[in-house]
Amino acid sequence: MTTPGTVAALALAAGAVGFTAIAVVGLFRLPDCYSRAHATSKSDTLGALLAVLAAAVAFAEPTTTLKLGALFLFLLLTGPTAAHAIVRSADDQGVEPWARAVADGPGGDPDDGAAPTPTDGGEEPRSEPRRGGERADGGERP
Amino acid sequence: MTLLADGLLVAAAALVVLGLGAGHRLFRGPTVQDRVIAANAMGTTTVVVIALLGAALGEPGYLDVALVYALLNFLLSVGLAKYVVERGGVLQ
Repeated sequence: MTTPGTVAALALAAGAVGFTAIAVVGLFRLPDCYSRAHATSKSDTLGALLAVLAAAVAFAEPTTTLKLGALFLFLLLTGPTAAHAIVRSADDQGVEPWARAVADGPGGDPDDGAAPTPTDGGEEPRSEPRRGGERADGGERP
Repeated sequence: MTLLADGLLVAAAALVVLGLGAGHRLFRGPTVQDRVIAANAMGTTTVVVIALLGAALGEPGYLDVALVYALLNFLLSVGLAKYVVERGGVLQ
């Protein structure tokens, strides 16, 4: 006996698991603190909101709907806010964003399919790796 | 009713596994901020697991626990983010 409420709650829970899985894959594979915060702040928050909606549909009582609505609003407000605070602290500390010249990402260097083609031999060939201190745009590391 | 409870329990179990997977970043994050991001994601997943367990087991008292845990998770993240930069400075 599958009522429409059951189907809706299970679909919302499945969506929650899917978006949280996307967030965890982003935590695994993205190369930078900033991009990881980007992945988790959006995808993990959306997964949490879908799971809260699934719980609200499963309960289907006024009191629990009120509590879960409060939890919904709270997660919606505080997830991206916390991620913004963390990223701002990273920027204040001087954590550098990932650049393609610095191939020290935890997931390894991503595929170079999107790498810009060098124009008329402007760059030296990649016979030797770049030093860690020099940036691709010539700026100095603070 | 049994199908709904079982499905929610399976979803909660999958979210527990995903939260433990997010804990990978706690051990090998190059910066402190990576670890705080991972802790925040794990805390959000824990809140969701508590709410889903309350829905699956039919106990509304779990939702209060989930609300308080969400508050503490947010305070942990913001407090660590401020502490890392200012070493216990006042919020500006």
